[in-house]
Amino acid sequence: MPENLLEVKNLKSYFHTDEGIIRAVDDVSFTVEKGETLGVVGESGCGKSVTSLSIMRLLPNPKGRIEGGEIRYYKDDESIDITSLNPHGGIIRSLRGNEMAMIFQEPMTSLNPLYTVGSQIMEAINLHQDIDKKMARKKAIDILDKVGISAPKKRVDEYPHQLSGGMRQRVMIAMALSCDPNFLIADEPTTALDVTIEAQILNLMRELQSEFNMSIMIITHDLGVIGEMADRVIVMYTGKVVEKATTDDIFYNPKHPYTKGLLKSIPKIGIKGRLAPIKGSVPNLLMLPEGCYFEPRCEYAKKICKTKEPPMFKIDEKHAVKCWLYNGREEI
Amino acid sequence: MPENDIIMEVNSLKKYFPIKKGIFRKVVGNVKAVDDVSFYIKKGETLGLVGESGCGKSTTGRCLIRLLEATAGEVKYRKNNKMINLNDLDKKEMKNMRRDIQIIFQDPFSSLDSRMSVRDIIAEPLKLNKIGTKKERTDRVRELLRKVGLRDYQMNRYPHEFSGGQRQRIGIARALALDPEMIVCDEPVSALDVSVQAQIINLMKDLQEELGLTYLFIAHDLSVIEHISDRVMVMYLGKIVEIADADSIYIDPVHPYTEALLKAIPVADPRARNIRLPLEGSVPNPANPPKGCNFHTRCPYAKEKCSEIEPELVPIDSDQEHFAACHFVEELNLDGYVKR
Repeated sequence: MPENLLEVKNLKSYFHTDEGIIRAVDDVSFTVEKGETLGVVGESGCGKSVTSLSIMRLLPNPKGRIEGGEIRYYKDDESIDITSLNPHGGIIRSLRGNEMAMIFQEPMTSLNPLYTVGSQIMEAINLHQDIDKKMARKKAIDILDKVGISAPKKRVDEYPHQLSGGMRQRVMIAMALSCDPNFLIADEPTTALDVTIEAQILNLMRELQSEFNMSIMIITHDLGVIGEMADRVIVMYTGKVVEKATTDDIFYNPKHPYTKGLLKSIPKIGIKGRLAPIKGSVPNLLMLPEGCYFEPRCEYAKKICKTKEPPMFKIDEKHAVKCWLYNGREEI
Repeated sequence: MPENDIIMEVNSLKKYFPIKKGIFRKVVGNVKAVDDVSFYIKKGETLGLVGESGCGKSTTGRCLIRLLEATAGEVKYRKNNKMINLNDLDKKEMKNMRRDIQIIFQDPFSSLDSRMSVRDIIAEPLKLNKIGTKKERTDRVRELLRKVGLRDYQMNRYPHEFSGGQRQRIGIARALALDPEMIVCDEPVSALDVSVQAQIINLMKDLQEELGLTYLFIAHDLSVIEHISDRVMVMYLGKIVEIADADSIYIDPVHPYTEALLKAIPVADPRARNIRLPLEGSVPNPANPPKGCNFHTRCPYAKEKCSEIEPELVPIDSDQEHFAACHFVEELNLDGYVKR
């Protein structure tokens, strides 16, 4: 039985806007096992980024709020419920960086243009570790070297604008890894990068994972990245998890009509013929339909789908799907 | 080589952006965004143009319809069976020519005027060219909306009321308003969700078949390019490195950069996972490109000659359909994406 590092149970994160309440993450449950890579895939507005911001307790204040559920983080034999923490308090701050770290999509906007990359990495180290400036600088150079930045002794004193996009993302990864976290959240880490640079960064993440024995949660809209990186996958749609399974099952034995539709929508090299897109588009989160949120776009929709939200049905130990087509199976 | 089926021929196209410095804005150098590019487009085909950011693919597209003025070179377009150099035309003549050549942009959020109704957006090209009465134009808008898969009652709405995919449909309807022959498509599906991207690709293929359109399709996504293109052109740092029919590019690439691009694609198949040795480094600064072959600083096969002499884009087959710019085309045996 693999050990869990993180358990998310019935998480609800809502945004309170002038137009109404947006249920960005609505009753989401999943686990992250020690040492694994969990892929989170979905289109815009599915709640994949809000899920990660909830785990880090970085939801924009005061509009975004965790309204319910539990995020349990396991450390040694103890566990802590992250939702119960003060988002500005000492405990979450010591968890962030030391235990959990996050890299974002846009490395240009997530680095401070006014400080050298070295000082930004050293800031993270000094916040969490009791070492002097000289040691911190040495550590910053070491970590830059580890993430594959050439001439780290020179680069450590450069500003973000002096680096290319791929190098900036390496710096972000260096910052995230500077305090040896056990859990790394990567939110669209390669979306802004060119394909040859993307391959470099994905390789780097794989190498570092086996070296540091981290768990990674990789959030992406790109099924290619999921296919390359993930051990298990959760598929999200309009704030809900609609399917969870091993990566192999997601690609070779998908159950949810949305997962099937996504797979059929992507052009595959070497396979000719017409693409089979999902009809319509993702609904506005303020005007969600009754019943199953995917029903208006679903080619298998039945009567019940229009009125009643489906529960999660169990396919096997590692595979579950939120769809009425599997009615009769065990609910979880 | 010009044959009757060639609709556009580009010869030695250059677009340099000056780098200015100091209080007198003295020109101290040039960013060679497009540097001596020559190719042709056949009538009714889709020519895919692929490359990484900064390779000059969008700049090339914009120079073809003179949204950017080329620094040098010819863009010849077939009109009444004569090849006319667009760069020689005056403003009025060019305006007329744009009836035949239209463009679709990447960002469906910023390329539509938010204060204009969909009817006005689509009818604007007709109005500017003084075509039809108001009623005729409205009828045409209705027809175009249906053609791109929207409902005609939606024509009095404003862009913010539509999703990204629907907005891209509006952009396509606007481009079709004047019955063009050719459309430059600049990353038209890059900003869209995967499920919607497939809808737009299918729509564009259907329209091409129905209306006999010619596309120059610019994208960075190699899977999208493979799916939609008849021929593919690969650019790196302002130059074309390889052009061929799509199958040759993906099965038998002959330029090391094409091979590297294909190797880097993340594969949506966990059973096909492999250890890939990605290309090292990143694209050099286009203001200061390397001597010799632009790619030699990252090329795993580079030899001494590559850092000294720039390779020319030359045909590598007897049909003169497959072109590559590499000194070692004959010697290298490269892998494609699709194994034969």
